[in-house]
Amino acid sequence: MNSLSDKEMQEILNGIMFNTTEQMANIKIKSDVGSLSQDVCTINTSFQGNCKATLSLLADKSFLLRLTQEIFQNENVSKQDIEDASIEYLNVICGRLVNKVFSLVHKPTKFDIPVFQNGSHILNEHTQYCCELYYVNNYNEGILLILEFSVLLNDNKK
Amino acid sequence: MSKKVMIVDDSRVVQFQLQQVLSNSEYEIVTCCQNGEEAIEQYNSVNPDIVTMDILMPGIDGLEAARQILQSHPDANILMISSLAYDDTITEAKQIGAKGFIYKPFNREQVLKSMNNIFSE
Repeated sequence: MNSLSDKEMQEILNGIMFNTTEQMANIKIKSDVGSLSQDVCTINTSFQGNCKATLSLLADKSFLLRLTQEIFQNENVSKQDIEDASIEYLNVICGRLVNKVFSLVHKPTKFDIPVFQNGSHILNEHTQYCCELYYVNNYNEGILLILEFSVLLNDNKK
Repeated sequence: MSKKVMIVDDSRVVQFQLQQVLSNSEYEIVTCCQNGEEAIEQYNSVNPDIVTMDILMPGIDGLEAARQILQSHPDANILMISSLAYDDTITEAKQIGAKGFIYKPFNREQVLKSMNNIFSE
């Protein structure tokens, strides 16, 4: 992360989020300030490599429902469909993030298969760097993207 | 005659999307494998004309699965379809013998063009 400023990182993440959401589901989102509803789901993954990092995407369930309906081109979708679509959504975001960010500042890395959970679940509490970005679609349904770089255990001095 | 396609991807989304893009084309999906091990086991019996292979899957990754298939079937046509898009991945895929690489998300034109390119070589 030393080679990228906060602004550069945010621009990269914004670009990835806007393009991926539109290309996958034909949904336009924009950066905003706000908060999610109480009814959210979380998709998490961890990156493996020289720098440990986690990416969490928390979203209003209504956003994920809409995303899934668009992806499967069907209004009638199941809970499993929503989970599968959400996981693939984060999968594509991560792939693009790896390509853009980690190739610039670190040796290229891989990430774990994303995990879907109901509710709000953030993976890391001890972070060296954290970027939180909030987005909404045209229906004011929100997404919170949290990118965290963990402090390595042997560097964690309290 | 339709060309037989084996999809190797644990994502139902990708399986659905490939079914959509390949509908009304000369490519017919004959089987969907959830992981690399299934693909290796089934390749001989299915004998597909082309395999679409994801990279990040449970068990062995798609690059290793492609390597193993190509070791026993050097003429296999494998098209990598993945969200992992950095240069090292693409280079490794080519070294293994994959015939093409598509980034997710993909559209119909990209998939058909890549597949057609493989068969026109």
